[in-house]
Amino acid sequence: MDTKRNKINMFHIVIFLLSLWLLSFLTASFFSMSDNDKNPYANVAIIKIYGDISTTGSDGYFDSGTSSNDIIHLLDEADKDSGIQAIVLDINSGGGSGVASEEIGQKLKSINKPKVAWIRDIGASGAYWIASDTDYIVASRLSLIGSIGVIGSYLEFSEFIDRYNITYRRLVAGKYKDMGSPFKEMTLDEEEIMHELLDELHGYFILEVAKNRNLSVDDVKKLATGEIFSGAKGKTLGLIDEVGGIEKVSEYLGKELNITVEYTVFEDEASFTDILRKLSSEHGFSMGKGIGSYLNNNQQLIKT
Amino acid sequence: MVNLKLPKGRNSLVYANPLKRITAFLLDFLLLYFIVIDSFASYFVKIFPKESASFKMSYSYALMHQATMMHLYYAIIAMMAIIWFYFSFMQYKYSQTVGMMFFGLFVESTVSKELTFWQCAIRNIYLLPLFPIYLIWVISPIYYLFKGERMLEMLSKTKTTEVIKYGY
Repeated sequence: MDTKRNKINMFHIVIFLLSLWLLSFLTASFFSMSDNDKNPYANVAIIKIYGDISTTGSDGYFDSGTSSNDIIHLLDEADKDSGIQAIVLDINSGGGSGVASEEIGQKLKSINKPKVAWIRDIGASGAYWIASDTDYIVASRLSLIGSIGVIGSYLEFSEFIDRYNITYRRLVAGKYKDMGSPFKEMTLDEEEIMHELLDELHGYFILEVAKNRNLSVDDVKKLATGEIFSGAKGKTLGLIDEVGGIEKVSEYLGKELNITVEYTVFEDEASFTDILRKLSSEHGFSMGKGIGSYLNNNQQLIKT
Repeated sequence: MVNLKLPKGRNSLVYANPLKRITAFLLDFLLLYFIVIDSFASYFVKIFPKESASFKMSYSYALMHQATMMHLYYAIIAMMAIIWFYFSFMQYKYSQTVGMMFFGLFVESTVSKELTFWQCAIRNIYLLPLFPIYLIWVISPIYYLFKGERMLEMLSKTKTTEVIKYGY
């Protein structure tokens, strides 16, 4: 029986093969990103704190921050795991929400196992608050640490909207209800209130670091200008315990617990949207990096 | 002598030569290596640590990391599903895959003039590494030895043919 056959269209075949390739690539990327098996012989848990720290985590597909809810859940898991004898926080963050940092700090304090903070590129502000709640801090001499301060800056558009004859219709019940609104000029007493608030939060930060690092409040106050320090300077100031990398962490834990350290990363199983988010943020970053690099290299071309 | 005005050459549709079928299949797999398998290769390599250089070490690692092995299995299923779709779709749409085009092989239905997608899907289902489908890998060769045709071709009511030209 002669079967009816469609005429071969090479263009369609090529499109089909390209689609197959794309499907394979996406599927393989999905599997690559979702696999997070733990080392069964591990005795030390590594928990990553990367990016902006907040209470609820990143919102969009292009963000990759850390949620205090997730970190607390992982700390709980590591605490309950009888095979895990210590916890290492792998920190690479410029800080974020004060509340989130404190929540993580409080959870760390409730854990009886040794805790080490391993600061990578940056462990500043809220990230440093978290690091200070551990028993031992290790950072590279080139790491950026500190920034013991509080920031509440924002862009004020009041003059901009005046210029375009736009009116900010103020309807509030409560004198300071719209304090901090970018559409109106901040009054002197509002600025005073904001500063008091920032000073109060700053005070909590200073007290926390002083208590955690066994430093006097006065010494910490002198450092708490919001200044960033290198890891090497941080050691001389008493903000960290050791300069080095993971080998120093292993050395400390090995001596402290008399064990051969075997690490395993504790992380939440990525959901499908987490993987999509990670895929798009990584690809977006790579694309931007590539374009930036190309523009940089061809700057001379563009000028002429 | 009467001039019967017969055509000088004729095309005949016959069952495809097994050697041609095997070569066409290997060609398809070579194409699929670059399109599908290569994408998964980096993931498969990542699964096993560099220290597990020998089969014995990899096997021990696999036994200790069963969750990772399940992930690997699912990835293999996904990869083979994409390959199965390639064969099924190409045979349904054009009655031949890219490899088969090189050897003039075609897939024909034995019951109707038109091939259905399900006929193509069933004849290629051995590609899916799922139970009990992978039992076909054992049963099908035995069936071929006794019956001279592929078991899945019998079940899907299809056959693989090639065009033989003679008299030209």
